[in-house]
Amino acid sequence: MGPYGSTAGKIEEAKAAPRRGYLFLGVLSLVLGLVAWQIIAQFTNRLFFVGPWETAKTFVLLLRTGQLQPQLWLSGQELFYGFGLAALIGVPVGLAMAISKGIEAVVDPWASILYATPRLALGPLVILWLGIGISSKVLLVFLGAVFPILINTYVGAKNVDAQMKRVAQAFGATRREQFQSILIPGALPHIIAGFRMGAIQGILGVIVGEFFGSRGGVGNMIFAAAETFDTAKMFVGIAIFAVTGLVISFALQKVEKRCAPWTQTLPE
Amino acid sequence: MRAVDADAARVARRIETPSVEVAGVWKMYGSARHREPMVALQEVNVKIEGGKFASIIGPTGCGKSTLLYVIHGLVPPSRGSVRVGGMPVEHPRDTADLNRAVVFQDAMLLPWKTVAGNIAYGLEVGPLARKALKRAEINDRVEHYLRLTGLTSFARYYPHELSGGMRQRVNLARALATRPEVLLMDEPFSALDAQTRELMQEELLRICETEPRTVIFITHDLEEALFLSDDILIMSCRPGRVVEVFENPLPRNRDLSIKVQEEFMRLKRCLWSRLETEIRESRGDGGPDGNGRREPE
Repeated sequence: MGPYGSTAGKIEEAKAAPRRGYLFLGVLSLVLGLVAWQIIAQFTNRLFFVGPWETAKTFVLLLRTGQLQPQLWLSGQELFYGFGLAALIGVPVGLAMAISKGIEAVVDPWASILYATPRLALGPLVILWLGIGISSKVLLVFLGAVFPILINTYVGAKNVDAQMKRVAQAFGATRREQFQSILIPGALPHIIAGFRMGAIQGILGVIVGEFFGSRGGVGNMIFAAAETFDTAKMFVGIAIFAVTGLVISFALQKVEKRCAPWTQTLPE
Repeated sequence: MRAVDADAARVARRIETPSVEVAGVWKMYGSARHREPMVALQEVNVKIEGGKFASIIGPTGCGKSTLLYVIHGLVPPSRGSVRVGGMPVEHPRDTADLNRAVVFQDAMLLPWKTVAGNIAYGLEVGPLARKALKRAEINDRVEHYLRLTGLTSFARYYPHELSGGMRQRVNLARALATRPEVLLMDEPFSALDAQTRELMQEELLRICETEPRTVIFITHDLEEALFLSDDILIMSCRPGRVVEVFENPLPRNRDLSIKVQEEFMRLKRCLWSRLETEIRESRGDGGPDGNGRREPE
């Protein structure tokens, strides 16, 4: 440690303090938002609007009476299978496009067209084909998730620095070794970002699929509740989707930080 | 430090110092826009004795890097041949005993690997990976070159946490870890600030003393070339040719203080006047240099 060690320490401390301050500000904003929500709920008709407290109470009630669990299980399965399939297909196809000009030429127009198509519009068609069982929802989740994953993987792998490949070649790396040691780790942050976007699209797929035709699920629950003016139940459903999206997004951000420390801000 | 010296001596004994022979090498690049191919190298004939430190200087874009990569084998010559230790060079991928390594201009470290991981990289891919070195052997080497380049305490750092000078040390250590007999350096210090560059030059000389090998070093910096080299190859521009081999009369075992000595200055002026013609010719105007190129006073 040089003569500047102590100064550096002080700078670190000075930087840490506002960081904690911003965290506090964020929490405060959240709490104030909830309070405002609750206050508005006090002055509005319960038939149209419920507060956070009521929502939480309804959530617990639905769990106690066992009404919620089967819906969660079904929607969870739809999301899991659809997303899993999208990852299993999106990542390899994206990588293949990045390394083979031929595959790129064949897949790229379709990926672009289908990515541009509002996949929500496919909802009724998919229900018509596959019925109201789980498979139609899995397909819709898949269709929502696969393109963000595929395109992110493709772009990520394509943009891995050409110089980096040159380094590998200079050490005599074979194509396979270049793929494993440069392309995959280089594309990884993009792949994970693709997962994040895909998961959000997947959740949309669940909701849309269950809206157009389903025997259950959280989305279905929301629409059923709307028909009976059970507003609190609707709020529970919406909150569940919101929290799911948040948790997945947050978890994948953590993974990304783990796999790709260099994409984070530089330490001072 | 004694342990380091003993270790270094043990390593050095195993490193051969082959000569590098470039015979009648041409390199042409085709271009979609021009009908005529671009001639990057024209009839380059050079012999660098084994164990020598040779610098290549010349105007920007004169094919210095191309020559370096042709010697390495990464870029095949259009005509002519390159021999290292009497053996014709092949693409590194097809070379069973890869005895050449490149230190790149930008460090080009793999950002997802630590310093130690980066240094080990050359042993984990390519022909050296197929030699199936034991993990312990790889670790030994990594540790040795961490020590030699003064990076031991940074082994677990990631490249983005290092300064430019330290990244270049990793770059150097990564090349050295493959135990190349010929070390090819492509302007490795050009992006560093002046002070760091001087220290790195001294360090490179020290490393070359402890582990002798044949070195080919590209630079724009005449002082750098004079300070480091035995031979200085002067290249002309477009098409690139080696027009002169300048033998450095300064004795080896130099340190930085030599740069302020009368003789060093004189040689530098002499080298500059030789190079100046090439640079002016390459600029095609012969007029005063207006783009801020570093010129000796």
